Amino acid sequence: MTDVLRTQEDPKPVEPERPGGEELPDADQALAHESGIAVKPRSQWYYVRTRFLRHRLAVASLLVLVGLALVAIFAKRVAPYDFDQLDLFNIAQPPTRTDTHWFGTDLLGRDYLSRVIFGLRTSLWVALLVAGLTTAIGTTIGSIAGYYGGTVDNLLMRFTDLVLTLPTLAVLLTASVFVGNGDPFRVGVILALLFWTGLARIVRGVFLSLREKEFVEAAKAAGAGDARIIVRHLLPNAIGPIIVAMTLILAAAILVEAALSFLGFGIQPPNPALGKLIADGQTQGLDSWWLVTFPGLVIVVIALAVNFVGDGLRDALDPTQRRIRA
Amino acid sequence: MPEPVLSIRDLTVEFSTEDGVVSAVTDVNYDVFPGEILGVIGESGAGKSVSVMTMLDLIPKPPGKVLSGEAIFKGRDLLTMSKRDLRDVRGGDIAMIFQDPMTSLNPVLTVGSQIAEAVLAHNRDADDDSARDRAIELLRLVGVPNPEQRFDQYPHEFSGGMRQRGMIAMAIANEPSMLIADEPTTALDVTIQAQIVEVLRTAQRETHAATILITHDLGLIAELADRVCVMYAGRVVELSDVYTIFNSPRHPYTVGLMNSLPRVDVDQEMLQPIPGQPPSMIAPPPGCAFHPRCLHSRGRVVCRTDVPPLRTFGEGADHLSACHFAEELAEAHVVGIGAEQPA
Amino acid sequence: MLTYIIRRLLYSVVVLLVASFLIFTFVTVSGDPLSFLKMSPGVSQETIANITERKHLDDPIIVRYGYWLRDAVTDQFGTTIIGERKIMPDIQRVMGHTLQLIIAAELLAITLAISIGVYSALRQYSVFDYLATTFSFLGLATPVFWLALMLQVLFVNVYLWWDIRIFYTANLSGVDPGGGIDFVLDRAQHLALPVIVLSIANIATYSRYMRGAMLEVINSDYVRTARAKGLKERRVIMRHAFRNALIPLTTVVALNFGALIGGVVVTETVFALDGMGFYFINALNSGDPYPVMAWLMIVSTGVIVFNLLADITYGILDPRVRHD
Repeated sequence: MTDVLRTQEDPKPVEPERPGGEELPDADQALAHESGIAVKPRSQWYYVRTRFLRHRLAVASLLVLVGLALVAIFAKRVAPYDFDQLDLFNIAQPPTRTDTHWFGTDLLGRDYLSRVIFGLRTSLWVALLVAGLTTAIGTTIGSIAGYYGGTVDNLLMRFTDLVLTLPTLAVLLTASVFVGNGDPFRVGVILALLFWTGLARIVRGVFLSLREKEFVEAAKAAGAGDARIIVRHLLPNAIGPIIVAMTLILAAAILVEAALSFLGFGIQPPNPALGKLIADGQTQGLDSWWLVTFPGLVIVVIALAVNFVGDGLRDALDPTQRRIRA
Repeated sequence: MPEPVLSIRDLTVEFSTEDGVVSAVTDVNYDVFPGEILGVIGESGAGKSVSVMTMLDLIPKPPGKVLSGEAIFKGRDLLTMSKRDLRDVRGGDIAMIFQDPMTSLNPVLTVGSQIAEAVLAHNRDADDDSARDRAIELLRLVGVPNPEQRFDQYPHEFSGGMRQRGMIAMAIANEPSMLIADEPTTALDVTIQAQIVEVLRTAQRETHAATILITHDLGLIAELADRVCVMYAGRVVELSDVYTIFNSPRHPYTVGLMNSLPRVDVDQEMLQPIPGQPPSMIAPPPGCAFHPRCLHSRGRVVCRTDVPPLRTFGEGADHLSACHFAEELAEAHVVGIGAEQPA
Repeated sequence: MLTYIIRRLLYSVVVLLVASFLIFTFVTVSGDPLSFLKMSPGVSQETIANITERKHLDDPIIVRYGYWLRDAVTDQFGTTIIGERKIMPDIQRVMGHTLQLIIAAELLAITLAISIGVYSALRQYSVFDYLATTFSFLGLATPVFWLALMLQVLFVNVYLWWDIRIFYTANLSGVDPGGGIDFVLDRAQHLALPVIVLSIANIATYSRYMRGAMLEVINSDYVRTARAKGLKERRVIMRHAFRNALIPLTTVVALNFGALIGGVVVTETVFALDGMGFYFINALNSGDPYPVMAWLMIVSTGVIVFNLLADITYGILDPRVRHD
């Protein structure tokens, strides 16, 4: 799989200098024939990269995401104050540049920028956890169902049908109340347990369409075991759709986790979370507009950026499916 | 010589795509005369369909764009006609048969209603009942059994061949003076193809319509066409009557096409494919677009620098070729036809 | 067509039964319904034993499921653990409010989304199309609860600063709305914000799909055929393109019902609307599994009914489904 992922530098094509004479010697005929139709050898990932880079909004979004991720990782150094540090002389300050209270302070005088940064850290970590777990579960189950078909496949499809008819948020709320405990890790696991079905369907679809193909037969004839065929021959073909689905899950995880935490059933203190910040902001009075506004804006920016990146990736990985540039 | 029904002059059409501008059709000229079948042949992407789609305003614009040219149909230029007038021509005086009958009929409407719709669109005095009667009559004419029942069925209840019959019925509904058949048999089984060819013949006999038959099937051309227009990389490269094209082609591409065709009249050792691939239409080779694949050019500079015009070359006014060396082809070897292998 | 509907109906009943079992098991396994009571002081062992006896809590799950199912069907979902209130009358009361909200929001979302999607597709790459695309990306990236709060912040601050009340930001059953036109106006003022909030995300989703479907259809071979026939452009769009483009949207709308309910929960909580969502959150907070299960069951039924309706609509719009 690694050799598929590695992007190759495209070798410069050799352009033979042709003499400007009337007739080329016979030996050069073959080259002359190819001159108008030469194809430069390039890896698939070269094209993916080129197409992605052409999608300017996606590139900008990726930079924003990387920036936010760095802020989250180095939160302790970046944040001007600690998450719970009180400043009783500056209570309920609107955004100001003094004392670097750029996002203002809450009713206890805690610096809101710092609170948002630590909330961002939790929310990003949960979203990544969900995306990772979902991909692992979904890919495994989708591969097995798609490769073996039969009963496994049938069960999987019936189950995904059922999950599709469930009111997701309500089920998540119920689960969080009884087993969530307000812990980020647990909340992430609960989300992943409900999110994997879509991805499993996608992987299954790719596998179903490929498992009868000649290269699978060839691999079997060469004595490759099932596991090897799945990992080496089939999975690389599903990487494109998996990556795109992952970005969508990432965005959904951010939004759903925020909603859960906002309703008070997701991540709870002492763990900071963006949704919880908004809920607290609401209880502190709507005239303190910044308390509700800033954490929400951060969520919107993340979700928007992830969606744009996903859009760019879809264009890059599946050029047959043209989509509008936003 | 009679007046042509349709004259396409200097037609140039571009498509702008993400990867660059595609010259789909460049300086295309041809005439279609009353009652004749003109075969237009070439590889996919050679611009066969684009030239006719353009004159009926059926290409999406953008990305398509007509840079120049006119399409004179019965004395009027279709390309500058008002939208309303052109709408009257479409499906009225000029009708089209498309390639894929699976996708060319609306899946949620009955086949009959789609035919009746064509009748209603062009006859002010027709009502639903008379249109229905006419549609049933048309279905019968193109050989659809039980047309009364078939009228109320949906496309998915028709087989491929039956659908194509329905398409032909729709096309001849208003007795057009010109029929355009775009790859009418390509999507069908071989056995069905023969039947559809018969239906096309019937349709043409009934309407006496001048017909443009677009195809990449040389057999179909041989069977139906009176004259042949050969296209390569968006240009017409050879134009003549069907016998001349098959027996004494004067463009290396046509020669190549003929060599790739199995023949029973000549003793062949093996079929000879044309080497290489069709050129990129974004950056076509300079000069003659065929030169990189041409066995006759042999690297001559003029082939790489000058675009050869479509011209006569002393074999009568009816035979046109766009090769710098059409005369050479005439006198010496018709390269490789039959058993003649390069030494 | 009739056999098609009957077959879908039977399938739905089976799905509903499976769903009921899953919901019961899921909620029951998730937590002890008595843990709240056991922790609160002043609740005697006797009371707890009483409840255990009455709700058959010592029996195996499958037996308890049987009792529960019997109560659900014959006795309005039984009673709550605390206070022994009948569950169904409470849910019926809040359901009315929620239905007003959902119907208004979905009508708004579907009509707007169809218009936006069709117009965007017909004017692809126009300024309108770009604006619509931007809007839908924003709509999909904005958390519903935050949007609701931001609107409240906006209107509350407008009220505080200029003393202008544009919409009420909360409460549906607090004041008597009166009758006739007063009722409609009052409801419009109260429901306007929740309806807008609830429909935004759906407008974004639906209009994307509508645009995509419409684009696919107007570039299809059969629309080209319709044009080649010499039909008027209006007729080409309305008869040959629009109807076909609606087909995928019915599925999207139906499958979105679950997400819509999620939106309802959040919206009603933010606006303190006395509806299904509000009820659900309160039930969760009370720790009593019985109203939670009843609620999940009713909503699942709603989802399944919605799916059934979508399947039937699909069958009406697409003859290929009808005949197989």
